[in-house]
Amino acid sequence: MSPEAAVTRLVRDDRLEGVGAAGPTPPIPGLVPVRRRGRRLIVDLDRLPYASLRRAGWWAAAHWQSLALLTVLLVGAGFVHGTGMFGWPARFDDEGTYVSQAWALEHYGALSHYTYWYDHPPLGWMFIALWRELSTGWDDAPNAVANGRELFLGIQLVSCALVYAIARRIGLARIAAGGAVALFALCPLAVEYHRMVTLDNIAMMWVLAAFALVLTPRRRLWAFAAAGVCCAVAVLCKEYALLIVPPVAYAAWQNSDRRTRSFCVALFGSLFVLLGSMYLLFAVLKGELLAGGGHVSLEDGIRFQLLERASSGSIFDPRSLSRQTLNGWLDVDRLLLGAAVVATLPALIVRRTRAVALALAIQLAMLMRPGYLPALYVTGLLPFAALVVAGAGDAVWRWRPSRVAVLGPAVAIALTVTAGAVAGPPWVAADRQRMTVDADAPMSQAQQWVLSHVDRRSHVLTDNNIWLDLIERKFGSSRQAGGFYSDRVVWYWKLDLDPAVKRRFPGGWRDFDYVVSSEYVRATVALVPQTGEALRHSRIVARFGQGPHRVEIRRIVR
Amino acid sequence: MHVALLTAYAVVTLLFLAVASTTLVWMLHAWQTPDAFEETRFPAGGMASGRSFSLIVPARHEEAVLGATLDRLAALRHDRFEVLAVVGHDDPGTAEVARAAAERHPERVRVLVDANWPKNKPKALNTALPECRGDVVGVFDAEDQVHPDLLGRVSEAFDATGAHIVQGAVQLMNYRDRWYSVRNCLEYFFWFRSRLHFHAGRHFVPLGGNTVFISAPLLHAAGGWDPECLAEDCELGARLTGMGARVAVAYDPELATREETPASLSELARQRSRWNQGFLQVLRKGDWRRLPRRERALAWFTLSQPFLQAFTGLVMPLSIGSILFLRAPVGLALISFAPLLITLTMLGVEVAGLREFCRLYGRRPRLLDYARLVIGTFPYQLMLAYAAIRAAWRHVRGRREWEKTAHVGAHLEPQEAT
Repeated sequence: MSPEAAVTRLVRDDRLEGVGAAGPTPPIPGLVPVRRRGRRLIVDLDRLPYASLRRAGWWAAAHWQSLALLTVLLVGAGFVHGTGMFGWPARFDDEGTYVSQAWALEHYGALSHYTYWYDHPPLGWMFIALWRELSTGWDDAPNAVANGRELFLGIQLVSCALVYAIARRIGLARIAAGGAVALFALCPLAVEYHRMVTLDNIAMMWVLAAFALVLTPRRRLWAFAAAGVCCAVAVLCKEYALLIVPPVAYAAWQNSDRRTRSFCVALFGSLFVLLGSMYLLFAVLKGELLAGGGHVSLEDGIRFQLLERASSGSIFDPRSLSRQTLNGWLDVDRLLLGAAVVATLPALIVRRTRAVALALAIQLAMLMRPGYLPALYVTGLLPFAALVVAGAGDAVWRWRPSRVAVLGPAVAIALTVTAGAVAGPPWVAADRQRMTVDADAPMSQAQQWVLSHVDRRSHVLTDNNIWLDLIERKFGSSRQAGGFYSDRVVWYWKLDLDPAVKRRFPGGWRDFDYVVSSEYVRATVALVPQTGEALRHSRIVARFGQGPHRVEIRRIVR
Repeated sequence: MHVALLTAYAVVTLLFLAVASTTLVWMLHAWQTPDAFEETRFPAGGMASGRSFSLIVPARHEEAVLGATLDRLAALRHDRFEVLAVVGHDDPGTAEVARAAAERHPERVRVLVDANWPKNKPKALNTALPECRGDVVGVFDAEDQVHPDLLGRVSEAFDATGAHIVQGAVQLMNYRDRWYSVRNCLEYFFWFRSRLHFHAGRHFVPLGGNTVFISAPLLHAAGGWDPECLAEDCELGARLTGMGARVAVAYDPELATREETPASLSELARQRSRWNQGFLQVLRKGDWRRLPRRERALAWFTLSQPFLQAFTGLVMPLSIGSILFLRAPVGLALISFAPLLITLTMLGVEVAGLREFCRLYGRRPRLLDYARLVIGTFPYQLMLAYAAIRAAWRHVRGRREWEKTAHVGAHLEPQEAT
């Protein structure tokens, strides 16, 4: 007998049941894995034809209660978020900026429709560009920002699901996790800010994904690695996410097992740092890392964001801009943030909620410090506020003093009912307003007016809200010397700040025929003298809306 | 830039990326989850298991270390086993040491003389095989430091898994001796602690050269080791798994057989090029082709990996350098950095590995050790590349003689070495 035959026979003769046996049970062809037992149909998951399908089936069977609850929550969240999302809030300049930058990427492979100057890392609008690419042809959103807002409906739904996952994974009861999602989706602040096309919303989705991943129940190594990637992506969408990376890292440390921790942390940290530094590498490759004569640089961008940006003062100074911003939030809703501030300290003490409470605490601490406070800052607070409040409720529910075991549940129910009674009416009113009022009407009408009344050879100064719509629907684009893409419609900031635009229009405001004056333009006019001159030397030819929100089309008189 | 050049770049980059990422994923296999980690250990002890062992110790010019090794082996805590020391007919010094040990332990140790010429390890092993009377044949090297309870645990592993082969762990210990020692130790750590378990799950295991235990009937039927192969251990693994044999891999730090890194860089390069050349022989011999499709791909990839890695290590700096020099578009340049990114991630993982290694073996890592690990990356890669090229060159020239690695006992605790 040949050695091979001898060995094969030996191996076959003592083959054990189940040890190294060939693969999973083979599929039964033509057989639907459903059978009838009495009146009921039983789905036999073990007979699904592929291993991955079987695993998905088992997973769904194990989580069907969560899936059902989450489905209901997502439908509700989608309904509240989606109804009237084009009309409220009115478009504001940043949204237009990001969709225009995405457009520049899509059509010209450029990172911005004007010179990219490292104001933010570009990954956020790369996602928007991807969405624009995918939605071209079938999407009939009324304007470019509205098209962007459709993507943000999706981002909101994903974020809701992630909030649920995080809540479950830190050990909250299903009902508390559902409560966290409800707070996160229905709070009027959330409805207001989650609808906007902002980098903050994209970054927060990735931060939440990172959080959910490091809380992996089986402590999977590659979930920690993926969390590192998500953190890097979040920071490359908006550098602000750096604030929330330490709490994610803390959650990673907390949730990892002693036996595999070294490698979980190593992968998380390495991938985060290395992918994040691709931004530096990008600047190096472009020769734009350090400041130098005649070119933009990452150094200048960071210097601007950290040092040169005008401070908006302290929130404790009643006349400061920061205080106004804070009041702006509290006017929309003060209940969720208020409850979260109260719950933060106890949530920091309880081990399971410590990481999410830390994420909130760090941001609250930054809020206290005087400095530049953008209105969008609230975006980062909301998911953690929802989780901390739901976590506190869950902790009260679980509180069972030995004498009166029902005390915890009773207090929890009482608190929930009170909260519902206090928050319910104002939230319903505020959400209804956001679902029914078209605050964007003046801007939409102004856009329509320019499209139908202004000659396409005219030169128009405008903010970014309608810049892209004018380009796409009437004025067209072409590559201009120095890296911008229209010499007809010009974003008003750039006439003062972009050297290439200044070269193209040596006469400044005198080279323009129209200026579109929105609330945002009027608020910032002190920073852009050319636009100021244009406003001063112009007369209103059309006007939409009333009061501070009005939009004027002005004809420049030279 | 020219389209063909860009395509070539893309292909090379993808190849680098594939080599680097698979290496990274596989070297971390054992730590995927804490549950999976537990499964890589030896089955819990305590079961009575009555397998008998024949332990072969081939030795050539090992008079400095062999005596102590045979004494330790003879003292293993197991009921039924024998130790077969194989010495060369031209090596009276070692034979003397072996015979002295046999006289000290007449009931355990026997000495066999290998008269083959030229000499190599597989021939020595084959000399001993007909004399083996145990249920299981095990292999140890002359300088190995073996845990006293290993045989019992291996016996239980056979019972618990139903495997035909049990591969235990080997660990280099003297990570502070030379600049390359820390990298060499970590290679062993990742290989035995993690990577081999991945191979066991995929039914293709390049076996290690010692602390390997094979069912005696199977080994007899297979006709023993390939006498001409320079990586006889890997060859046997490829051959037996190709015929359907099942391999269990188990790791416990306290049960790992302790060895030393080669005493000089040129020794290390020679040892590595011998293995690489052996891999080429196994690749050419083609027993692995009998494996099912996925395992076959894994076998091919594993056997080619030293060469792919050498190629990657040499060409990646060139590729990145040229892309910077040629002022390629920024997007392309960023993509060409992707394999480097994985490589640096691997470095981060190695740093964690050093920490873990020291924790498991009760050592205290110093900053210098981490520094050597990080700074040594590129020079070590150069050494690996040199070894791979040397191996390929010798293979093409048909030079097959065995280049033996010398042992000085640097892995032993001070009191044992003296």
